[in-house]
Order: sequence, then C-alpha cells, then structure tokens
Amino acid sequence: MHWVFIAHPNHWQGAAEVTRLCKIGPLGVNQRLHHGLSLLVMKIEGGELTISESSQELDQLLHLSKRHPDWFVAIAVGIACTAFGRVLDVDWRSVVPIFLAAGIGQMVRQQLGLHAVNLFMSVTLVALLGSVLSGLGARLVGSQTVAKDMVATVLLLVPGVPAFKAQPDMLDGRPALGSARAVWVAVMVVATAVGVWLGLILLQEGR
Amino acid sequence: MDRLCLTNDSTCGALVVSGFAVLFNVGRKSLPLCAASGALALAVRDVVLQAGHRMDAASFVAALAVGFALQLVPSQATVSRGALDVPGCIPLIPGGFATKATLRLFALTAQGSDATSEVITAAI
Repeated sequence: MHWVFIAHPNHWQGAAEVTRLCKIGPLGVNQRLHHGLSLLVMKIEGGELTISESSQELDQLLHLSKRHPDWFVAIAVGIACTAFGRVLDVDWRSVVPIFLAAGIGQMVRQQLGLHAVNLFMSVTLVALLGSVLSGLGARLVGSQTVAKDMVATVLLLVPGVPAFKAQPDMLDGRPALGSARAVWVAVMVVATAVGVWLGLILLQEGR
Repeated sequence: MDRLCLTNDSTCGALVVSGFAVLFNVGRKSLPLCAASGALALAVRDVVLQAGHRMDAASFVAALAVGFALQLVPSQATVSRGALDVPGCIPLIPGGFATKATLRLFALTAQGSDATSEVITAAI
C-alpha cells in the first residue's frame, strides 16, 4: 500500500492550501487516467467547475479509465517482449517461448500485485519464472539464443516510463522526484537481473 | 543501407510500443498512433546507426524525431501527445542492455575477481 500527499490551493474558500494524506492501491502507469486528470485539472484551474461538479467528473473519469482486460494485457505484453527480442536478435524459433513466458509472467505479476507482495520481491520472482520458462521453451524448440531469449522475456519488468520521466523531472526543477525515480529504476533493474541470474544458474546457461 | 534490418526493427518497434501501450492503459483508438511512433523511433535510430553514429546519438535523434512528428498530430480529447510520446520512446530505452550489464557485474562478483574499472567496462 502506498501513501500519497495531495496539496492544492483552496480557491473556493480563499484559504492558503489544503493538504490531504490518503492510502492508495498499487501504483501503475495509466495514460487514460493521466490524460483525463490533466484535462480536469485545467477545467478546475479555469474555474469552470464547482466542487460538486469536480467530484462528479472525477468519479466519471475513474469509471471511464478502467484498465484493459487482464487477458488482453497479457497477450499485448507477450507480443511486445517477443518483438523486443527480435530487435535484440533472438532467433525465430524462440518467438513462441518468449511470447508464452512473458504473457504468463505478466499474469503472475498482476496476481502478486493484487496480493500486495513486495514490489521488488515480485519483480525478482517474475523475472525468475519468466526467464526459466522461456529458457526451457527455447531449449525445447532448439533455439540458439537461449540466454538472449531469457533476457527478452523479462523486458516487461524494465520500468521504462519512470526511467523516461526521471530526467524531465530533474530538468523541470524537481530534483528530489527525479532522483527518487532514478534510484527506483536502478533497484528495479537490479531486482530483474537477480531473477534472470538465478534463472541462468538453474538452467546452467552460459552468462 | 540494410533495408531488411530497417523493416524488421520498425515493424518490431510498432509491435513493442503497441504492446506496452496496452500495459500503460492507452485507449484502443490511440494504439495505431502509438505503433506509428514506435516504428518511426526505431527506423530513425537504425538509419542514424547505419550512418556510423553512436547508439546514444542515434537514440537522441530518434526521440527528437518522435517528438517533432507528434506535434503534427492534432490534439484531441481522446488522444494526448503525452500518451503517445512516452510509449513511442520506450524501445529506445536500453532495458536489455541494462539487464545484461547488471548480469555481467554479478558474474564478475561471483568470480571473485579484483575488478578494476577497465575490467568492469570490458565486461559490460
């Protein structure tokens, strides 16, 4: 469970600021919600909405920005990791094992998140599972790029958006946030690498 | 110019970005644009790499191209540029490289070698 601080100027009552502290669920990237919230904030800043209207819009926004079905996300992630693997020059034989292992890894990650397993522990476990599954599958189909296949499978765990956002945060004058993101990204990469490393040891694959 | 490599990478770039865009909960209507931005990113990076430039320079030019191209997309209520440029640049983030580099460092540590900066650089 994460905590979030919300601070905003209180336009309606003319007071200085209102700061709230509340519990939120597991964090994740949600572009539809982000876009909707950005538009809503602009409306509120422009004084177009009352408090009750803002609250209504917010509820509606949460309803409209629901996530894609789990099976659809798992298939999409499987395709993404497979395509990433092809960019990394994995051979054609390993396409199916990477697709299946990444899809299963995504579903397991989702379940671990729902059960509030520690994020870094969850990443290591998913990296271990995904790399072992793809490694075994790749051996089964006679792939010549087993170690690369194992790395390609875990690319779903690389925190691309925080890595991308860390630098703009620092350049925009939010060094604390940018640094926190960068450190978080580094720990995530290490957690992922530990999982793959254990997988390589289990399968006695050359590193 | 290696056209086969260019076609492979731009197609894969489109698939990578579409897949991760679903994970990032981008709307279905925006997925074709996400795919186009991914294809453009890897195509530009390949062209710059094949012109003999380094990976960091190629990634910079590719990200710049994606940013400029997205300025041509009309801003709509359902599609934001922010939802397109971040996924579009995802294939440019060297996640595979970072993972492999960390694995090499683990391997060095496991061997118990006296790792100087030259050894670490060579391992990465």
